[in-house]
Amino acid sequence: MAVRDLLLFVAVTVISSSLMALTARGNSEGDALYVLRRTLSDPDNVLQSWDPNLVNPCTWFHVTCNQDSQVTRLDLGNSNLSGHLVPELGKLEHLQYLELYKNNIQGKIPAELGNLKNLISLDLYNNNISGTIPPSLGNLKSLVFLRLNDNKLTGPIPRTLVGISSLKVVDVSNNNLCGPIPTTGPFEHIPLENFENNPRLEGPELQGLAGYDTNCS
Amino acid sequence: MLKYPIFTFFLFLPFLFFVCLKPASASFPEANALLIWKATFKKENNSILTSWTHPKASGSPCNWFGVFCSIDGSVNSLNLTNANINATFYKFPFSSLPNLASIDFFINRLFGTIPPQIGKLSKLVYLDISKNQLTGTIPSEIGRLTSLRTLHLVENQFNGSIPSEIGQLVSLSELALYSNKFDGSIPVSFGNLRNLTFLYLYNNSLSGFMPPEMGNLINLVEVFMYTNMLTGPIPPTLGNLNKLQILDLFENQLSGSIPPELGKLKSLEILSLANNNLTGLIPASLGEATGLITLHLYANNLSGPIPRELGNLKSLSDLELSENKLTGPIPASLGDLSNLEYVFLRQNQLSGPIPSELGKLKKLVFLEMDENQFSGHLPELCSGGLIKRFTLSNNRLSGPIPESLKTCSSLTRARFDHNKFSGNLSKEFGVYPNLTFMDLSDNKFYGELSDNWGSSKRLETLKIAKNNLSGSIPPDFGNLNQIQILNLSSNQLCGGIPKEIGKLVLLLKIDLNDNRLSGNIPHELGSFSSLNYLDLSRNRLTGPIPKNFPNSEQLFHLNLSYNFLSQTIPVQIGKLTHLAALDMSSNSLTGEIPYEIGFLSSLGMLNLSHNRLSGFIPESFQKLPGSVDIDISYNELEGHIPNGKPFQNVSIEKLRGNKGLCGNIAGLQPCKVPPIKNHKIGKGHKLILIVAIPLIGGTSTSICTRWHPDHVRTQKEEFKRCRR
Repeated sequence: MAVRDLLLFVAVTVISSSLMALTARGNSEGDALYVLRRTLSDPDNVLQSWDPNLVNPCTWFHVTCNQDSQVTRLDLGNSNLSGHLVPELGKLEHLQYLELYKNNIQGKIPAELGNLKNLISLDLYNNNISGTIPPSLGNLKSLVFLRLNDNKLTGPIPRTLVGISSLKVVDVSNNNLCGPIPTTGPFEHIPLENFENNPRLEGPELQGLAGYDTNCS
Repeated sequence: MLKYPIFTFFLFLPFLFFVCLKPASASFPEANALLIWKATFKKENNSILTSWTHPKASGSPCNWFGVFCSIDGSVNSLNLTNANINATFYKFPFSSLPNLASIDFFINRLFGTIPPQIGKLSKLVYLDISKNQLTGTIPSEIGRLTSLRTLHLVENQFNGSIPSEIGQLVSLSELALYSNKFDGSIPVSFGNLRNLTFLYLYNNSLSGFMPPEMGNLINLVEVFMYTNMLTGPIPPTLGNLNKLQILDLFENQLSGSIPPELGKLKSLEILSLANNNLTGLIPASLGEATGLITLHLYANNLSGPIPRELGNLKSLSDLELSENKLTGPIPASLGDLSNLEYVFLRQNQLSGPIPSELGKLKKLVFLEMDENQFSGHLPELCSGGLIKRFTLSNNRLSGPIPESLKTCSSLTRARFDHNKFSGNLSKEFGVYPNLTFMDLSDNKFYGELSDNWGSSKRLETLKIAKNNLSGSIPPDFGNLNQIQILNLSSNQLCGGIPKEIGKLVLLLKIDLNDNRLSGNIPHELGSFSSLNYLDLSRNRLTGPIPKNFPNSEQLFHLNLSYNFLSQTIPVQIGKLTHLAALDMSSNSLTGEIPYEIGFLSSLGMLNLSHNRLSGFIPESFQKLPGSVDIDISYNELEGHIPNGKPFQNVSIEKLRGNKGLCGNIAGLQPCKVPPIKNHKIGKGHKLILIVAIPLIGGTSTSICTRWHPDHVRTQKEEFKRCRR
């Protein structure tokens, strides 16, 4: 019986080996996005054009590339997606806009998103995302827009975000965050309403008087 | 030698009786031993092993599920495939099953390591513990299993090097170690495995060189070593493997040249050396391996020509040489390969014309030759009517599209872009019922867009940018109900944008810029709810921007610049919360800037320059992201520049040419009166307006004429050409 099974394995191998072949070298950005495709649930088939046998993902719908065929935008807002995000997203080094808002995505924000040095906009709002905001997001030195509102995020707002001088818009309202609201650096001009509806979030930190014994981590 | 043989015989007789009368008791200790092992199993919903209980009568386990005995009642085979066993091997009765010849525990939840006691199963012929969760290294004691013919350890988490003692398994015919974490080199001792037929080592971390001793394994039929980290050359001795049918070394770091000796492999059907670091030429001798069906050499550093001898591979159906540095022409002899279905030559430095002999290939399904330097005219190519994917983009091809491609109704994905193809587009292409992707951009096609395109109903992407197309966009485009990307930019299309385009609800990206489109923007274009990108710039569009336009929250790019649009900016624009770039410059827009523009919370670029916008800059601009690049120059705006980040570092170039802007910016006059919040123009300012408007109007007109010198004249001409 096992011989038969092995032959089945062989058959599958040969077929999949050939199919892999049609991918040519396998563009690493396309591979990363394909992992995302396999992990997300896509009842409306918005990812149907995401064919890993193509040379690069630049002709895939909802993907925008620059002149050098590097992915700069991912526009999947309001697309009825569920499932969860993948660490491979962190490999899209030239990504500027990650638009995944208004879906049903669950699970955590992968810490690897902190590798996206060119990211300008991170829009994950209106999903079912849980877990904490990874401190690694503090490495996103080009970030302008950080909209994580209307999710199920817990834990503190990482202090590392204070170091992103380009940050202009932050919205973490309607979550379950705790700890103090930062007030320095880019957070000086973020209106309080962008933090509302986080029952355990404490008022703006008072310089020098911020308490850290808040059982929040 | 016994002195009294007969006496000895009678001595042994009772023992014989003992054995014959109670065959089961020989297996009683075997049953016991198996039960000791079973006792270590973690409890699972396992009705399968209920038969494994102490048998009262015979003491024989031979009726147990998965247990098989020989005639003498001794366990010789255990077959527990897919039995949900969650256990280790540590209490497995290696010493108590002397006749065990076959172990098949494929698909279970066995974990832990293989104990060295495995070496005690001296009669083992078949061992399959694949698809479990076993870890650790293969013990060197495995080398004692000299009867072993089949060893399957696939899809576990084994690590460490493959022990060289495996080379002692001289009976071994099938060795499968794939999908584990084995590292280190392939042992040189493998060269002793003369009976080896199937060798599967793929998907591990094996490194080092392939041993030349592998050339001794003359019974090898299949070798799969893909996805490892093997380095060094492909041993020429592999050319001795007369029975070899499959050699798959895909995705390693092999270097050096492809050994010409591989041409001796008459039985070879599949050869994949793709995705390595191979250099040098493709040996002409490969043309002697006449059994070849699949030849994958792509993604290496191969140079030189495609040998014409490859035309001798009459069984070849899949030829993939892409992503190398191959030069020279496609040999005409490839036209003899009548079984060819897949041809990938993309991303090389191949040149010359595409040989007409390729037209003989009736079974062609995929033909991808983009990114080379092919020149000349295309020959007839789709003679078998089966081609689905056809890419020739980024070459130097010229001339018309041959007839067989016009009628190639099997096409699903076609790219002709970035060449010098010419001809009358309306005659070059037909109807393609299965076509989803077509890119003809950057060529020299002229003529008009035919109604045919509307009949290729599966089209999802249609790009014909940068050609010399004329005439208007057919209303039949409204039938392309699957279309998501439409790019007709940089042509000379005229006439209006058909309102039927509004039916195409799946559209994500519309690019009609740099044409001569006229008339109004149809209000039907406001119905797109998924639109991401809209560029209608550099046309001759007139009339207002429709009130409900556009209606897509996901729009990130809107460019209507360089048209003749008039009337006011619709307030609906404020709903585009994801708009990153908004350009309406160089039009004739009037009225005030709606304060709703301040709601564009993602805006990175805002260009409203060169219009006739009047009134004040809304205070709501303070809410725009601080990094936004604003240009409101050359309008009729007045009043103070709002505070806030957007205007903090703005330069005078982005503000000049207005009526009376003031503020604390170099080049601007400072505001004389206290800043007035945005509101309608008060009585006191009316006089200023009466004087200023004609002045500014005159200035704007002169500017307009500078940029659209043929404005009036060309519009008349256009009406003539576009009337249908």
